[in-house]
Amino acid sequence: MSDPHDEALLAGYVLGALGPEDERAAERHLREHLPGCASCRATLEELRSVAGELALAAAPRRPPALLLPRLRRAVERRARTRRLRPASVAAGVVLAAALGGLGIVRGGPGGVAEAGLLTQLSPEHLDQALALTARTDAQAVAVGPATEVHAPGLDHFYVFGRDVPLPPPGSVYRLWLVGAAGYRYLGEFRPAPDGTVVLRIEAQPQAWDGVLVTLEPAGSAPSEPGRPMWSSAG
Amino acid sequence: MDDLALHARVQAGDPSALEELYGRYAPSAFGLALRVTGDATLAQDVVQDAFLALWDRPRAFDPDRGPLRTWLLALVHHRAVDAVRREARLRERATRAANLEPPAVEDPADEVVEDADLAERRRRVREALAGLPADQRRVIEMAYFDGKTQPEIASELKIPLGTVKTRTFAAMRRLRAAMEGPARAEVASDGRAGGRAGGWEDA
Ligand SMILES: [Zn+2]
Repeated sequence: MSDPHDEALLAGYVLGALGPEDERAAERHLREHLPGCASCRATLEELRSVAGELALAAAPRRPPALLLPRLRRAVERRARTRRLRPASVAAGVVLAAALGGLGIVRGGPGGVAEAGLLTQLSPEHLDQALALTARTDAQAVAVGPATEVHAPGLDHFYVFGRDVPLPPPGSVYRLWLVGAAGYRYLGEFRPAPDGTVVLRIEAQPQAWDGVLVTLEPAGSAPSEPGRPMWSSAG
Repeated sequence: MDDLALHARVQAGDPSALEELYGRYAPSAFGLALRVTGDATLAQDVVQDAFLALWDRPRAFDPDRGPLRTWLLALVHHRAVDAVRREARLRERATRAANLEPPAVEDPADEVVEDADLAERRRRVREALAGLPADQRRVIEMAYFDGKTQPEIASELKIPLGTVKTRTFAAMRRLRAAMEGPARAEVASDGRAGGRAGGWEDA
């Protein structure tokens, strides 16, 4: 891209109107250029607020009376599910634990993997990670083909990517936190068929040096990190 | 009770707070979803999904980044556009009017009473849109209200993609200037109205 401050790209982005190619370019732009360019960040915010106001140009219409009771029932159903399976199904997400990856790390330097620290979100939740990327105080770091993004004050962060190759048959990706004290095993993940990965990690990245992705035989015990693939740590 | 207090109650799992927000913003949400999808059934699904998303992940809304209403309607827009594109992929839609303007005479039962601030914002954004040069307004409407991508707009209007992009940016810039002028004084009234000085000089 010849123009490093591609404001027109941002305009198409906030409208959700980019073609697939520009969409990727915009995501790269948000990740690579915006964190270091205050002017583009300000432009993005301005554009976003204009796009936000456009919503009001549509005439308000009272929704059908049946919609509220329908919403109410859906909320009640979720309240029940929530009690059964905390913080997972309610959000329509797939717990990595359900993939069978969250074992106990025996004697590993990171200690015991805690269930629920890693949540693999469906590809449509990519916008959550991207929204965080666009925050002015966000920090993005490459993890191979993926990106780790975090911001001060949050007790969670994301690792996301759109072109993560599928692991070879018989092997799995595992995610670890890397710190001075050793590793903490988070769980397994699997890219969607189109290579999209959206992982939400319930931890404060400031307490760690970064994350590590390993490629390991499926079904093996995650006792300590296997073959390193990508890492955001030093 | 203001939106942020209601949001805090949603976060605490209070369904009555969600219903109160629904009472406040469902007409805006449904109007927007209807305009984008052109289909009352799809529009209802979109509105329900958006409110459920707020219920499921209230922390996805960050109060530092703007008002709850803006966030919620952006979510509605996003989902409405997704629904339109999904539907477009599934079957070739009958060509519908490029712009599903609301009928000139609305059913009085549909009439929505809104608070003055919202009505004023509505008036301002419509005026700003109406004030755009026709070719700029067209790309904004096709992108935002019809859910078309820029390459689709380019091929439909038979103009280069680059022209669509620059036209879009010029339009957004003009809209901002138009909405910003009279808006400035009023920004303070809700404190978070999105006006921030600087960062986007007119060139
Ligand atoms: Zn820049």
